[in-house]
Amino acid sequence: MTQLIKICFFCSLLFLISCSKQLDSEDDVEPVLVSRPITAQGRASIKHGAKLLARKQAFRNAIANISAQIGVDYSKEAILGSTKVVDEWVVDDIYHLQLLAVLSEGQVCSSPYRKRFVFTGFPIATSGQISANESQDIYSGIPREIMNILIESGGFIGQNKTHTVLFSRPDMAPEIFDASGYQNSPVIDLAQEQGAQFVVAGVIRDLEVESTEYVRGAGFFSQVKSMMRDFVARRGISIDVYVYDGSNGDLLFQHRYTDTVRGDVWVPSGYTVGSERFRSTPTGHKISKIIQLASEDIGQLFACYPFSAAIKKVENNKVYITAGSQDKIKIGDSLVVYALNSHGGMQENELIGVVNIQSVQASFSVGKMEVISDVRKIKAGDIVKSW
Amino acid sequence: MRLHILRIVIVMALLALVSCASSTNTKEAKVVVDEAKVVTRSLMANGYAKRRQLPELTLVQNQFAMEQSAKLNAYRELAKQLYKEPLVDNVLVADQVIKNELYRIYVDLYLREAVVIKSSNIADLQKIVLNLNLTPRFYRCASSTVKIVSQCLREDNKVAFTRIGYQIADKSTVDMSCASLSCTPQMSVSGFSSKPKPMDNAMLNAGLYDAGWSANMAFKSMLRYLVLTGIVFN
Repeated sequence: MTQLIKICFFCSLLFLISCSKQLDSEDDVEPVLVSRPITAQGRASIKHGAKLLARKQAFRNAIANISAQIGVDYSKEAILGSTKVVDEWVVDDIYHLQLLAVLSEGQVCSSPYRKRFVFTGFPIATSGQISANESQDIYSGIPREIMNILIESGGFIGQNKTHTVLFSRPDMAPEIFDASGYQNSPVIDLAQEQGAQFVVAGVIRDLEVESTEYVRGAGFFSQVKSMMRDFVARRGISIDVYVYDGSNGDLLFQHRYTDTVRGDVWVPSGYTVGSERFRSTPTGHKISKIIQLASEDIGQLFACYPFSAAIKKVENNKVYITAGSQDKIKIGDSLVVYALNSHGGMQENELIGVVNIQSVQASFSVGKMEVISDVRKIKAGDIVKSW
Repeated sequence: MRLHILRIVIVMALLALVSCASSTNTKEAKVVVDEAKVVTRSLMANGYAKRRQLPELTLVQNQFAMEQSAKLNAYRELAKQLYKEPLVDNVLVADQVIKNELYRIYVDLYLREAVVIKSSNIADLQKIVLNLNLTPRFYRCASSTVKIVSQCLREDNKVAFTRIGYQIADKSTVDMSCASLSCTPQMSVSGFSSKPKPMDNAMLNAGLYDAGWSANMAFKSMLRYLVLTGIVFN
């Protein structure tokens, strides 16, 4: 009889396992996103036989038409999750293109190219908040770890310039004061020097440990409380992260991340940001959380930005671009060329054509202009964009 | 007794097998549409073209070119309607077309089965009306797996058409605020309006700035005292 009970128990367990497996497989099913398909046409005239350029312009026109079609219906986060050119034709030197797109929310842009970032150091706005007995790696460690996470995501290339600081007055950040007054913006200089699209900078706005000298109120209890703060303190963390456009120095991203730590708030000297020991300290744990958050925010926002790279050299018909296979450039890709015209410190971009990539190296690529532009001759310093 | 136990084991094992088999079949059942339940639909689209007299063409050729142009416009209009056609589980034809190139080819070739049902002239315009019948087979093929849609193309003898004139259309994502030259209008600012937590806020408003800290310290001290006295005196 006991044997029978055992068998029944075993079999019921078997049933349970089979049923639980079924439930798991139900969970595996991808959630159905509410999507909305849109078809839109775009058109652009073909000038001087520049078909590729007309195609790019027609694509942009189609996107603009979709924007107008949807109007205010879409939220700020909505993106055209997936777009496909389903038809294209030419009539009377006008390039027509039919685009099929699915509007979706909460989706992240996927970029075909890797974008280059330069990371600079994060100075502290109020000196003295990180004592000499604490880790001195925080200033360069925070941007370094943001960079590592972004590189790991696969959509970005990071250049470590964390030994340099953009701000001569960190308390005035994100304003960059140039002592000489006649130089280019340090952001543009740094981006050009490194061939980067964006420059990341930041400021440690607050890392102050609660004061032990300040006694709130009077009496014995207040004194004890003040004394106890030497052992169990509170520390505020506030870090500002800025991202500038490398081509014109515009500020594109300004986020503040704040948190509070209680307990043993000091980070021992010698601990490096990102290490296991650093993360095990209460302050290090919170800073690591901020690093993760900042990386996610930067990654999400800049994945949508069009890819851009500088033209290094123009020789005969050949155009040398400061982006190569590392940036995921492939032979046959076509990039739109914009002429950079500076007028008294203000930059204006002018579309002058499309460059067709013909050979790709690790860090640079060589292309050829589709047709010679009648707007302006292409020259070093101009930029190429994905669209 | 032993025979009885053996019977129970066999029955139970069979039951387990059946339950597992049903769990694997559910996915397939979801994919394959019940043809009997799908009602055949007809899509109609109009296409227009303006009368033009190109000097290099004869009168007949000009008329033919105009009809062709109107027909192509009608096909494009029909494609728009077809993309919005619902299949199963809130999936539209457009979703499938975006998902895989084979669906795009299948839908594109199916579109060519449309027939002209009306051709007329309105002032200097040529009007063409196209009709496309959507069969249960279309719904079944378009809503099924990539393997089945490929099989549908083979069965319809359309494989030869897929090899010519088809370039793979890459998928891309676009942020609509980047539709202009760059995404600069999309400047992102956040974290500056964050307020203290409701509990902290209430305490600060009540003038109990250190209440949390004091309570925490008092509780910890009490706990340590109890633990220590427990160790020392027991």
